[in-house]
Order: sequence, then structure tokens, then C-alpha cells
Amino acid sequence: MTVLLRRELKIGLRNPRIWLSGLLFFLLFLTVLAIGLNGEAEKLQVMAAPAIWLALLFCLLLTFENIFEADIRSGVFEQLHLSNVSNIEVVSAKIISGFIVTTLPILLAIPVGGIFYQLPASAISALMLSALFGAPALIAYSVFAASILAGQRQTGFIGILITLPFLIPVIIFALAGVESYATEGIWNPGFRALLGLSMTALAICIPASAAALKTYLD
Amino acid sequence: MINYLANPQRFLNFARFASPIFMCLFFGAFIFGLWQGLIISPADVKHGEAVRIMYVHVPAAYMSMFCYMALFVASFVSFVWRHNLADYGAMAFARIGAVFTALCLLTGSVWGKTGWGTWWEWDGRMTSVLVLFFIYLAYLFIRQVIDDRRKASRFAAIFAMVGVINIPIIKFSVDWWNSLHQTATISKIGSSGLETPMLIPLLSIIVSYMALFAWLSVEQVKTDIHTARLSRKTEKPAATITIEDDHA
Repeated sequence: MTVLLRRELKIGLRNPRIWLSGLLFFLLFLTVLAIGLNGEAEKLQVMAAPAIWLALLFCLLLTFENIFEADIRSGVFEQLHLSNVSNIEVVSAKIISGFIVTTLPILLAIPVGGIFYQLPASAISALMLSALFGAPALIAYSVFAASILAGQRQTGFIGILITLPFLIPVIIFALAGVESYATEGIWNPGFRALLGLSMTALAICIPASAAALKTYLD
Repeated sequence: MINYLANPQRFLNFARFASPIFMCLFFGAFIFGLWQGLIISPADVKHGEAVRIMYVHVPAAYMSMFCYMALFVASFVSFVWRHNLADYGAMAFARIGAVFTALCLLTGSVWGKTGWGTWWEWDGRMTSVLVLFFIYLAYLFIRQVIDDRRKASRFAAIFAMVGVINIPIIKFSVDWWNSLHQTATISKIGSSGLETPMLIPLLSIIVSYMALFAWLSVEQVKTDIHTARLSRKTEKPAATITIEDDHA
């Protein structure tokens, strides 16, 4: 497990492309949307939380969509299977390394997005907390979609189609939590529900992804 | 019963007499329900004549849930015991469920226009049915996209099982979201319980939809069994060769 994790982290650090592309997508999405809103401060502030959350969501979905592709093509995945590494460990390593390598840079870029959308500091910290609490759920469902579509050539929109219905509660609770952060502080019901959803998502998706990968290997 | 039907040949024998029974039950209950609903039952005080949409709308909403539960059970059986018939069943249930969900959304939209004056409202119930519709579509897409049929059925079964855990969460979250926002106060149907003349058509349409569901899924599974058999059968008889000795 630690060996797998260390390998993933090294790959991530040596290929800045992996995390840079997600980060750039995040900032570009926000920029284009801000331009679409004519840069008016009132509109921007209303749109900020949903916009940043949508950017985060699509960014993670797209980066995790083919997370298993490189390993499958290079044969590492079959080798791991042959050396009796359980799929649960492979999936967990992918989720943890994905959180560190691709998600943390985006979390750190949220203040930049907040400045783009003229947000006050407290709103920015609320958004960062919501992203931190919600990211495990986003990653878990994206990895689940990736494991179902592993090795398939023409997947197109399917990854997004599979994950989005499950992410609706995550978005609802995250935005509710951001809204009530100012009055109720960090442990408001929205954030608590969000954390619960993230835990549930991990608990469901890790075994489900492992089962899907096993089916792929059959 | 389930064990008995798990054998394809026995299932075909069962389908031979069950299918017409379900068909007759569907037509009988449907025509009776429509007659009761459109002619006999009274118009509602609040909704007027438009209340008759209820007799197609509410049973469809009920069936959209029922089909997903059937899909879940079939997926579970096909995933654990790798049984082909359960897999054929899951496919049939998903298709029928998607159609019922679409019907529920469409009739609900028409009813909403007459009742609330809007085609669509982001109400908790409507949103969760819409999400259920998307889940059905995603399920069907997974089966379409993955070429290897056996693998596709396993992936789809995993997806259906993950979905069944999520549907209550989605429903709960959407209800909560709506009550948080307080968009519009909506009169809920039948707050005081339904009168008997309205209950009779409603129940008979539900029975007819269940019969339709059973009829179509039995037919679909039957077709799938035959298709699988045909694809296994060789197209032409094995080549024979006769050697004739003409030179003698």
C-alpha cells in the first residue's frame, strides 16, 4: 500500500502535466464564466460559489476519468494483479494520491478564484472548507466511473453521465454549508452532511471500484 | 419459484402460458381503469377535470420506483450467482423503468401546467424523479458502450447496486434542498385521502401497469433466450466431403 502510494506520488511529481492541466482548466473555466457575466461585481458574487463548485467538479471528473489508462497500457496493472496486490489497495492508493497530487493544487487555487469573483475572505475560506470536505466524494465517484470504463476505448460522456446523478447531494450540501458558514460556523449541518456523504462515498466506491476492476481483469 | 424459473427451458414453458395471462390482465385492467377514470369518477374540486391525469401519472411514478427495485434485485442475483436470466431480466426492467419514468415526468409536466401554471418546478419530488431517470439512462448507456456483453452486464450490475444506495440519499438531499429554499408552496395531491370512486381507477391502473411490466419483461427475457440460442447455433451444417473415384 505505501509502496503503491509512493509510486503514484512520484509519478505525479515527475509529470507536472497531470496536476497542471487540472489547475489550468479550473482557472480557465472560472475566467470564461466571469467574462460571460460581463465582470459585474454583484452578478459575480452571486455566482461565485456554484461556479467554483462546478469548476471543481468538472475538473476532478475530467482528471480522474482515465486514471487507470496509463497503468493498463503499460501492463503495470496486470503485474500488480499477478503479484497478488488486492484491487482495494490499488483503488485506495489511487484515491489518496489523486487527492494529494491533483486536488490539493486546485484547493490552493480557490482563493485565486475567489479574488476573480470579488469574494470576501470569509466566503473564500468557506468555499475552501466545502471543497476539502466534498473532494473525497467527488474523487470516489470519479474513480468508480473510471474503473467501470477502464480499458474501454470510446467512452465519451459516459463518465460524466455515470457520476453526476450521484454528485447532486454533494453539490446541494456543499452549497448549503457555504451559505450557512457565516452564521453557524464550521460545524453547520451542511458541512456535517457533506462530510458524511464523503465517508459514505468512500465506503461504497472503494469496494465497488475494486469489483469493477476485477471484472475488467476476468 | 425463482429457483424453478432459473432454468431457461422451464422459463420458456412458464412464459408460454404466463405471457398471455399478463397480456389479458393488462388490457382488462387498463380498459376498466380508463373507463372508471375518464367516465365514472367525478371531477375534483380543486383540479377540475385535469385530475384524471392522476390515473396515468401516479401509477407511472409508482412503477418508476418499483422497476428500480426489480432492477436492483435482478442485478444482485446476476452479480452474485452470475445467472444469465437475471441479467436479461435486469436489462428488461431497466428499459421498462426508463419508459415509465419518462411517462411520469411527461404527464406530471402536463398536469403541472394545468394545476400550478408551470411546466416545470424545481420541487423535491420532481427533481428526484428526474435524477432517477438519469440513473436509468446511465445504466442503459453502460450496457450500450461496453462491447463485451458479459462484462457489460457485470459493470451494469455494480452500477445498479451503487445506485440503489444513492437513491434514498439523493431523494433526502433534494427534499431538504427544496425546503431550504422555499421556492413555491405547492398543494400536495390527495391531502385528505382519496374517495373510493377515485381509488378504484387508480388501483386498477396500477394493476394494469404491473401486468404490463410483467408481460413485457417476460417477452423480453424470452426474446433474449431465443437470441442467445440462435447465436450459439451454427449458421450452416458442418461441411461434408464425399470422395468419388471416377477414374476406375
